[in-house]
Amino acid sequence: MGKRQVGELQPSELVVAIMISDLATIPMSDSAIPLANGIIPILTLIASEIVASICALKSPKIRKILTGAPSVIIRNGKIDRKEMSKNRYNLEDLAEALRMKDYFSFDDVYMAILETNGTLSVIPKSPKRTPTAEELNLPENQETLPFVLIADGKVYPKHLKEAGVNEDWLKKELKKRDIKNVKEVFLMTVNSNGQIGVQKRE
Amino acid sequence: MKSSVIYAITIGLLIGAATVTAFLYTSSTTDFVTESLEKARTSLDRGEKTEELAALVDSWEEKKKYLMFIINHRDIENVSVSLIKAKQRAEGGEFDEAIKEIEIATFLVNELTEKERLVMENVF
Repeated sequence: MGKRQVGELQPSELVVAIMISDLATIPMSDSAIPLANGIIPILTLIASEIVASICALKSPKIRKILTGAPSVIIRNGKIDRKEMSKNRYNLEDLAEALRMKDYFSFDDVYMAILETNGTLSVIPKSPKRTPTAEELNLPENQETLPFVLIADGKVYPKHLKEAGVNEDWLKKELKKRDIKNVKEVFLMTVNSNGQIGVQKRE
Repeated sequence: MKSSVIYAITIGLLIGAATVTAFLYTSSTTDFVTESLEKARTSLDRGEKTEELAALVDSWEEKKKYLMFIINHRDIENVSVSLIKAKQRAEGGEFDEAIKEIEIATFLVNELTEKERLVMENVF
């Protein structure tokens, strides 16, 4: 349980989310039912979900019961039929999942793991893998997240500080781009290479 | 992690407190109503008119405003109807009918408490 999109929820979490929405509609649809009759069960479900998450975090056994375990569908380039039928996963499902990962041939895949949330993790065969900067002997240039300095006309002083710049620098850069006021800017970013992106408001 | 545990415990305590408070309030209200109904019944049994029922109906109208937050409104309305019928019959001199309505009202009021009780029958 945490910050995840609907598509990444565990089955138990999805069930709880659906139950909560059902419980919420009960007092809403019948005015004779007090609101507390909906709120208390919802709070109980939330509390039990938190407890289940904590137990799953602490105990691998409980985690396996609640969320299951990942399954290796393709191992050493070979499709494991037993694992596929165990997970009720057919070849069409596998082909679709591989295509979504930009692998259009089964022969390109060394290992494919069906995760507990239904997504497929893929390790391609070495010749089919995108080479890394290390393998190409490219100079190391660690990138970080770009900083949003201005968004919708508002300056973010915290991001200015994190980027190692200040308001004077900001005004200079805006002046270079013929921008007199911060409010004229829709978006301004700076990345770890010092590249600045500015988009004016229209 | 620590915050999750605190949230879970807080929610559990809130639920527990709400359940206990609701039950205690319902229980005290129904005790008051059944006591008043018993007094009214005793007077009616002796063939005496009683103001107890009229006063009870007024008190019930006040108390039900808070009960509506915790009890199904239909159950509350059933009790209201029964009390009003008992009052009307008593005022009309139909003491036997009034006593029957008082018995029904007593049953309905006791059912309110039974439904709020934390027992296996109510859970399942």
